Amino acid sequence: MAENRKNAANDTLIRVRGLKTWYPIKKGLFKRTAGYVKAVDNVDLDVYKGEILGVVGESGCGKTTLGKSILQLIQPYEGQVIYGAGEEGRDLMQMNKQELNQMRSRMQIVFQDPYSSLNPAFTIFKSMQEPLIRFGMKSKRERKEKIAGLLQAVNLPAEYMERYPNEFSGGQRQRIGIARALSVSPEFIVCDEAVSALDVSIQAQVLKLLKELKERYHLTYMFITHDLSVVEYISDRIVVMYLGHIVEVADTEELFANTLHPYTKALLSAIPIADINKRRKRIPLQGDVPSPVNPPAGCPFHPRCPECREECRKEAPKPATLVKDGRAHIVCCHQVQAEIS
Amino acid sequence: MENKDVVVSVKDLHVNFYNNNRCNRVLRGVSFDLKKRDIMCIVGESGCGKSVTANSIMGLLPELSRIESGSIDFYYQGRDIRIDRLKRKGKEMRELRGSGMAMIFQDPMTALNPVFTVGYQINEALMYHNQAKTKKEADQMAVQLLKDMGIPLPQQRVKEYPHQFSGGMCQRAMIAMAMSCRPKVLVADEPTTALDVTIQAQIFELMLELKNNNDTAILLITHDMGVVAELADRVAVMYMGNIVESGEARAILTRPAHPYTKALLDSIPVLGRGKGQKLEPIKGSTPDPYNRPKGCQFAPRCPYATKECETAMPGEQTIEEGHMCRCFHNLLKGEGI
Repeated sequence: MAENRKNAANDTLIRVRGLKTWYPIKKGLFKRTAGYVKAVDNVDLDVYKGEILGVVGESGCGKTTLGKSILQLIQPYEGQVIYGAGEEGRDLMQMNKQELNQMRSRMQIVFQDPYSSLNPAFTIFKSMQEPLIRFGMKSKRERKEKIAGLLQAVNLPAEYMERYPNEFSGGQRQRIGIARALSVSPEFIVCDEAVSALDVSIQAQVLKLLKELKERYHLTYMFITHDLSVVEYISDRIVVMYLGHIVEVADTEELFANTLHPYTKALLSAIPIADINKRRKRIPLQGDVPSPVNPPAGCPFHPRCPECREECRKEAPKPATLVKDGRAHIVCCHQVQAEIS
Repeated sequence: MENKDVVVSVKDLHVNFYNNNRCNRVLRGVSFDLKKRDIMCIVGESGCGKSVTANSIMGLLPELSRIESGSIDFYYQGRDIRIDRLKRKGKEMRELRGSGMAMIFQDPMTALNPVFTVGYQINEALMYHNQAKTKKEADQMAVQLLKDMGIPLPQQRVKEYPHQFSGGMCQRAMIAMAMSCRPKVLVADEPTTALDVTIQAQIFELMLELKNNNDTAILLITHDMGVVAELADRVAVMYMGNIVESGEARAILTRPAHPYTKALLDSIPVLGRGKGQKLEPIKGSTPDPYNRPKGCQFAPRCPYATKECETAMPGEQTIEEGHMCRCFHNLLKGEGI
């Protein structure tokens, strides 16, 4: 399967083409649009069926916006988000509200903060039954059975459905959030920093659970996080983002073994490794991430790049695809392109 | 004073919090020594008492709390100061804070006062501790400090307000403030948790520089084992108000003796170990602090627990030179230690 996956349209679940999510900046008395925050700028991305796609980057690089734009929870500015393989594929951006609402049963999201994503005034049953009612499960007994089953799937006793969110710990709430996302039998789940708010010992429980559920329900995940060690553990493929752009996409092993983009290299070297025998040299990055309101001309990374060249300042690099053992490794960098050709 | 290099010595510290007519025994006998030029890391899950330990040293415990017993000795300028006996808001404590010992807080955006310029806030410490005689001198020192921290355009930046700084820059300004009087002890309470990894690396470079140039002892509180492996000379692992294991960083990370330390290390994904690495989650969750287990706090979650563990908290055992563990079944026992 691995050999022909690159071009196999049948395997793609979601195709994102030229996606731009720009937030307007309003100014003055008449709320004139003075400029845009280019949170996601010109992103092309394929999500394959049955994979766990990790999205990493620093805060403010547009990871969450990308996830929410794909689900149409944020209205993108322009571009295409084609859901479904080959002929069946339909552009989510062209759908009207009703059609989109129907699509919601196929794609779900697990939010970062398990404390604010559950309504404190509702019991777990009440919170969880809403999507079921929405998608036509009329009988209350049926709903109860379904929710009991879901809670058991995430290793919680079924009796917990009568309780309120404040009675649960962070890890338990996150599992309830996952159960709620699963309730409409989706194919695609965006996990937006789903384990970042949890303690390390609980994090491992939730990560393991997510992996098990993926196998059991044949899910596809888009796993958004800033923690590269988590992403290495869970993902099949990794997308590295910087300032609204995708800078590198590769299979997990490939990305770690053969890092190409200077930003990815610096990012990897900056991470403290919990293995004392592996202290290595850091590549220090100067300064902060520039503001997405006024992104630098040319390559977005050039002001901090240790290998910055003349053309990087002028022209934004185009994605170059390297094919190794039939798997694509996409990188956006002039330096790397020069080395290849 | 037993050892000349010891700067802070905490002995059998008990701290209670009194809330809603209930008493939470937050620290239950914490002891450690902090040495000159040493980076000591305290690791543990949230709620285990890491920050309370740091705040007791700085005399910053909240109103409804009390040091019940134990002592904190601070060896400063040839004197032996009992911090636990000083009034928290008294004159002596104020003189120590900032000059003898300084602290970096977790959230740089909220730790700085939003209505004063960054320069003003740095000057405050300098003037109070008589590091600068005139305001002009203080201004110059503040600019120099920001420059040392690698903030671009420091002349302009001192006149700006915290909201004009990014998170990383705020944290650097905080470190500048903390280091302004060259303290002997720097307490850093999760200094990089709110920051991105590339910024985190910059902050760590700064802290290492300060340690080497000023002989500062650093108490670094973190929950990230990666940070420990990278920076720490010594580590103390805390669980529910006790230090369950402490020792040299290499020993703790490679040959943990306490089941909790081992479980903690097994439950985190380590970069570079690949996709197939095995994660062993710790079962259950941390107990309710108002309803604690009777004996060893970790017993209900521990795979090695026996009857003995449920009755009493094990005492401190030295299992090898400088390696302490509180467990009846320490994992190095089989190795003849």
